[in-house]
Amino acid sequence: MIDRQAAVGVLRRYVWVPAALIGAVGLAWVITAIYGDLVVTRVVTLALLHTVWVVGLFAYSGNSGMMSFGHVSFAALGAYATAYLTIPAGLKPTVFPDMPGYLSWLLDIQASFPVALLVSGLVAALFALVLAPAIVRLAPLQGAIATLSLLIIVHTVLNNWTEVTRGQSTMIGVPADLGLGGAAIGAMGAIAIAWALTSSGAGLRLRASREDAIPARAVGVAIGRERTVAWVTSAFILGVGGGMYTHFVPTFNPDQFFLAATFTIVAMLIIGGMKSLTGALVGAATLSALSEVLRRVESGHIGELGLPAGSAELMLALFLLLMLGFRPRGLTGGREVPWPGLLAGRRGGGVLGAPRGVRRERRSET
Amino acid sequence: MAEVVQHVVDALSLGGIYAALTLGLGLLFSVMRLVNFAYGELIMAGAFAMYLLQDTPLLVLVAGTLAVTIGVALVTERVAFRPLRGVDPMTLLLASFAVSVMLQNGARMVFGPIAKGVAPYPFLEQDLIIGSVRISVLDLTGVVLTAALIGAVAVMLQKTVLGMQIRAAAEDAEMADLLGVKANRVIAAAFAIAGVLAAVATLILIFQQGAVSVTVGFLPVLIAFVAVVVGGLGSLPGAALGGLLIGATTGLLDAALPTDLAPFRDAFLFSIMMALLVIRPQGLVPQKEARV
Amino acid sequence: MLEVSDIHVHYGSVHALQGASVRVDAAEIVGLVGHNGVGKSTVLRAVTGLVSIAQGEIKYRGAGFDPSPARAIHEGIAYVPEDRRIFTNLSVAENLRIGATTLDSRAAARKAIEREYDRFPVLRDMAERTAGDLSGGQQQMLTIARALVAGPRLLLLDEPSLGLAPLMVAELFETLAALRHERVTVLLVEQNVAKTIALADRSYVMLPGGRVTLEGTRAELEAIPDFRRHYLQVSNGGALADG
Repeated sequence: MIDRQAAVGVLRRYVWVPAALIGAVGLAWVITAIYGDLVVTRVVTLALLHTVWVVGLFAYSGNSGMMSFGHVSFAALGAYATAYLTIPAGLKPTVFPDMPGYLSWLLDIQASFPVALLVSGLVAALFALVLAPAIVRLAPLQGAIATLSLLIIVHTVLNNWTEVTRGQSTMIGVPADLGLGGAAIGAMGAIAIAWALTSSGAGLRLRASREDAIPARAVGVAIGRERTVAWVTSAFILGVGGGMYTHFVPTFNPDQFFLAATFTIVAMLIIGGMKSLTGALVGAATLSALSEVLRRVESGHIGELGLPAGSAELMLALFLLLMLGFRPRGLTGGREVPWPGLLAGRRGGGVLGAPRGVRRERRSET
Repeated sequence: MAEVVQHVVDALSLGGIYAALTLGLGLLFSVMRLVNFAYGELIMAGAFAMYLLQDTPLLVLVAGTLAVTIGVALVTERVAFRPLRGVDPMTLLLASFAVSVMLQNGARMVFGPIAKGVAPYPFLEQDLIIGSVRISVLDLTGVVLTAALIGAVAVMLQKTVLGMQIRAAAEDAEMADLLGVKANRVIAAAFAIAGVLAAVATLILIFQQGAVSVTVGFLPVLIAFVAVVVGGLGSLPGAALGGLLIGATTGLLDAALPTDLAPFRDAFLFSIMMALLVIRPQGLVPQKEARV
Repeated sequence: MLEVSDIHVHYGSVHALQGASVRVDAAEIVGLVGHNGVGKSTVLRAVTGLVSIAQGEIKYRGAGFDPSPARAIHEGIAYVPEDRRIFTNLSVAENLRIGATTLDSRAAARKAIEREYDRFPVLRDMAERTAGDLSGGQQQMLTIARALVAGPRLLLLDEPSLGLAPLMVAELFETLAALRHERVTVLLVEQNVAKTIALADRSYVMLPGGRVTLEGTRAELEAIPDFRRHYLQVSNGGALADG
């Protein structure tokens, strides 16, 4: 006999949130497929790709409380890995005419798109694993700054190693075969992985430690191990996400994985609510919609006024600033999708917010 | 031998620039736990002031750059950061990120995304020749100026009432409040001083590289970020020391890297800094956790 | 001078103060005692605006008072916090000079600092030393001196005897008693019940639940059955010592 109460409990704690979120993605997919025109489909596909990235960022930053500014570099690595694997073999010598001898095997490897994505994820994860000792034992502030270093290092190398990466020149030859469906499936997969991490023992322990006032000294070994798991997992998600991106925007270069992209995913996560997976999705959806509207206003499609280039990003940054000032825990307040039938007051998913009440001792707000 | 001296002066000049920048950043952290991303935009503002004033007498350019940089610093303090006072450092960092993006885009709307040249001043272009050694006047000025400025800041901190209040607030802002220290004044002063430090660093930096753009402040502020952590977050001597060390390292890398590796200088620099963080995560001059 | 009426304070989900009321008249020394964690410090933090009051009212010098640290010191309320919080990176003299921030002139500041050096001669000897180098007892003197430099009307002390050797505790209470001559009003939060109720004109006793339950002079409190057993023995480790 299955204990009904227990079954419902398990359902609520472990299954509801990812199911609801995956369902939401599925709904978006179906609606866009049926009603969306070319432009809307493109926008939604891009939003889903960003969702993968933001969910990946959440997997680390949301669970550990350590914001990372370097995560798009994992996407960058994934992107180039996928490029090497999926550009048709015949084209590669033209794309990489100066590939040095010891790396010529890059010209020979080939894989199907799904396999390439898996490899991309693993490459990013491996890179993250190597870097983990440098990052995970730092306090949040120092850690954030260290991840900025990561961003610079990866960007500099990709941008200047012209023989291997084409440097500043845009990539060519990557098949542009990622459609709405692929992006949706990717988003669903990312949600599943991120949720698995969040509700695992490591995830729970991480979140418990997140609320403590961690002094600005290096943290102990145990936390380091848990953070490493989250760090590597999130890198995997972003590696795959980067690979997916290249089959949608095949003409990419390192600048697409630098400051603007970092701002995008950080803003999405914060505005949605850093501490919950639902927040990652809400943020991605909200900012994608908002930025599309602003972009149309900027180019004069809405109303008659065109705004100077850069206003869209400026408005989004202002939005982020206002959020941080007035509602630092984001649109979701750090909460997950509520279990239907429950009244307000219960927080689902076990994601706790920091205690409030002491006016001047404001601890981790975001 | 002559080349070595030149490289040393180069390194010292960069060391001075980054010591000043990092000290400014460190000062802002000390008084309100703010690691200020938008500090890069102080550099950008100063740089554009230099661009606009480049045909004026040097003194006018210097004064103008100082005024603009300090102005932007004080405005961002009043408008963006004062309402966020007391908030935790991570949120402040993220807020400063937002402010930085806003300011960059604002500048992009006014000046456009393309880099613009800043004509050098003949006086600064000269080289001082001592024996077989050529030292650029600009480099020398940089070393002397930044050293003097940092010295002045140190004296100010130790000998003036304001400096004493800044040091008190840096250690325990709440207690300073309880004793009547005016937080607004202390923090505004810190921003102004940080502005002066940024302005001087910008002057030397831009004259050295000859071009300004909307993103001109991004890399220097990132270097200063890491330098302030390497030096020890919360310690002002640590900040200056970290900046000096990292700046000098930049100069040494410039000298030591073979031509084909030169474009990767920043990758090397940041890798070295990350390694330093692994070895000594608390920084060169560790601070016990101070109260906000 | 100070009237705290029925205040409620929350720390997150913890209802730390549930209707605490305290009154301190001018030139009085009033004690607020109770066991650890009962909420005594919270009352002081509420008066100085370090925590917000969910409910209730504070009146100071007859008028409604909306607490904030800046307002408190400018109205003559000086706060000596638990764990002292001296500026360890500054010198002793500099700590005192920060204490003089609210005084009008440098001359007034110098006079006030001299007055504190007279009260605590040890501090004069250590004037140029870094405050972090001082012993616990010396730091306690410094933090009280720093608060008194401003010439406050009301002095709030949060467990000043914590961590001090018995000899220093005796000196501390002597110093506080001498404040009567200077007409400084004192609200003293303490765990050392015996000495506090002996020194104070009146004392309040706070029980778990964040409410003040007992009030009275030393004689009145000691007349309560079981008071000695619950408060004087437990907090003094058995000794029914007089203050």
